[in-house]
Amino acid sequence: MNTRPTDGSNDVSTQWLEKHLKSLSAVSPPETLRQRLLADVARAAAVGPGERGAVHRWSRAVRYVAATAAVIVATCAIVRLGLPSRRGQGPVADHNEQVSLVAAADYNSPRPVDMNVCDNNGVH
Amino acid sequence: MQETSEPKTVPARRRRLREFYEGVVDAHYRSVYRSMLFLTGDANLAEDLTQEVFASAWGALARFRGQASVRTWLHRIGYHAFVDAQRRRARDQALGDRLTQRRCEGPADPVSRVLADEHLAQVCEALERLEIGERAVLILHYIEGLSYRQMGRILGRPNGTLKWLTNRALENLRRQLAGKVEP
Repeated sequence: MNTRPTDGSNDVSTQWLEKHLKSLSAVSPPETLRQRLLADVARAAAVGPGERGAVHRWSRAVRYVAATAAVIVATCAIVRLGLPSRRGQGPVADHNEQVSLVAAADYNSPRPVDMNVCDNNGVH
Repeated sequence: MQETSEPKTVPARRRRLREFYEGVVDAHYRSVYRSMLFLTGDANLAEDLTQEVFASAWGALARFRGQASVRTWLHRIGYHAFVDAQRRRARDQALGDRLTQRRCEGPADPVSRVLADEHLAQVCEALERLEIGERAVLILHYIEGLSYRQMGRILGRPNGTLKWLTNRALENLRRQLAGKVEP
């Protein structure tokens, strides 16, 4: 540590500073503070520190369990039912090199027109 | 059997805890108050924070594992309480005004007896102008007499950094006082 003495100007030395800083430890709090602190202890002792900590631990544990249960339920639902299908989006057909949705088909009267099936290799 | 003994043991345990904690308060409240006073610069706020520290310590007493000394533990709680108060100050203008009031003044203030010494008053003023980290190391090391190791537990910094910071803080304090005091 730099312990250079005063250089003759108005600068102060490290020893001077250390001495004065240590002198500040003579500051003491007002007596009323001690009384307030002891009163706080008496009030808090009616509950006890262990009980207070236990409440915090329990509430935290309940949050973790609830979050874990939610994740498990969601995972089970997805596994059982599968991922939500993309409704309203059928197979894609290439009509004149344009990507578009296939028109709704009438499966009770299966005609090539309704199903948008083109036989390109067939004889016209 | 156990049901009949339980009501007797719990109050006894609480009484022992209370006696122990009163001893902790008696042994350390001056030191914690001083730290809070020189960190905040406000006697009233220092009292409030000291109360907050001991209330928090009581709440966490069951989790105190004795890895650090009680004194170091309390100062650690105190430093965090101060940092939280600083954050609140940024949000709460009223508290900010209170923090920026002139510190260590007033005839009823016990600090004024010590600060009647002109040099000490100037050191106190210069201390307040340092940034928080520098102020904290000077308070903990010189005023409270904690080692770098203990300070490391409180401030969460390695010894080397704290030594460097202490030297820089002393240098800045000296610069603040240059021309104002005659050693």
